[in-house]
Amino acid sequence: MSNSPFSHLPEDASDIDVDLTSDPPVDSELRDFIQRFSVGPTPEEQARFWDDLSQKLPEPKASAHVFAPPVLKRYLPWTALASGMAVVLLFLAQPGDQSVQQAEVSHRVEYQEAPASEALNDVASEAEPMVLGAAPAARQAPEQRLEKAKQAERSREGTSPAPLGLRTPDFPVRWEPLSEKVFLVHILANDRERLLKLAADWPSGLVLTEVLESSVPDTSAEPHEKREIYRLEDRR
Amino acid sequence: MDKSLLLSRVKQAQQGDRSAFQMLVNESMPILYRVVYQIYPNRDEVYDILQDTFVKAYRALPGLKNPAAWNGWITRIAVNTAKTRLSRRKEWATAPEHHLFENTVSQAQGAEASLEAEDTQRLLSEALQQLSAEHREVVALVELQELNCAEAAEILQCPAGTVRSRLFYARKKLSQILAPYKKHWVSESTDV
Repeated sequence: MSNSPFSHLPEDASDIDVDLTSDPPVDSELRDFIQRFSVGPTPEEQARFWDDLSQKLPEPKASAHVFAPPVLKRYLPWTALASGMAVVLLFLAQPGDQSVQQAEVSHRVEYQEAPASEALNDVASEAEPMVLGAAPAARQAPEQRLEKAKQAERSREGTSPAPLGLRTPDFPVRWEPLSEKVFLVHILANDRERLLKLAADWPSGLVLTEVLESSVPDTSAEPHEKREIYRLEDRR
Repeated sequence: MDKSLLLSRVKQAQQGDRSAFQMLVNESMPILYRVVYQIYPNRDEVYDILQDTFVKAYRALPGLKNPAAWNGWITRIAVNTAKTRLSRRKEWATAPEHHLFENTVSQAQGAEASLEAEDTQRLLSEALQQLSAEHREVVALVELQELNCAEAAEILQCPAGTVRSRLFYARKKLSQILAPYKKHWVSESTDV
């Protein structure tokens, strides 16, 4: 038994206690034998293994290493902090006539409190559940109703008759009298060209000037909802 | 594989280096094949199990907190994948795909047969198949993958003392089965 890799074992192992607290010594001959002669992959299996595997692996994303968790952990807090500071600085640095902004805000309040807005909200709330999982055709009807409600509100808003004997335009305009001869003209930003075209036909002596800062960027508003304010003065 | 080299490759693979992962696969696959074969003795199944193993590893690799633990980690995935597949097919501890060396041991009892390398492989395979599934797992993890008993216990989800006990009796059983051939296989494993 002196040459046996099991020479460290007694002939009858049942007569001894197995040491369960520490690993048994490595039997290098047995280990070598098992490693050499246990069933392993064939050369053919080894040759095609990576080719087969690479087809199953997900493609690496181009910027995967940039967004790997360790990198994210390192840079995400600083990025978030920098973004937050940038937003605050932008807010503080924003110039503007506060009165005009307040007017704009109050106008929005009026706009929201108008009955048509309630109708809009109703339609919107009705339309929302339809968006999830609904077919495009099914979504179309509420969207059309929403658009019609918006148009109705626009037309209602533009129904106020034009002052100074001017022709009432066919797009939404709200005339806000400041005096007998001075008016603020509220329009949707999209209607700017139409207003300027209309003004070109007005009699001389009517002066239209844009109220500076009237087109305050409103990131929450849709493009068709952004508004502009002009000042109309009768100098005739 | 050198530990620092292994560590370097695992870290590179974690950062999305596909060629580093390929090298890890090429290094790990042969020994994992031998380990998994002891659990599921079917070449086709072993091949598929290892493919699944490395796909899982590739996806989970960025989350590996200790890159130095690659060997234990990949072995655990392979063993769990093999066991899951076995339990699904209810073929746990079934006979090997080809009944290797079915009568050789009994026929050769006391004989001083001259064994070729191929015969030696068949002899070992037959001897291992005579162990219980639990003993084969321990032999595979400790003797093939060279894990210590604590690492093997973690993979097998049992106490380290249980692994040591199983290892002791597995070695004893193997010594009994291989006793008639020991002169040959000892010389082959040292000479070849």
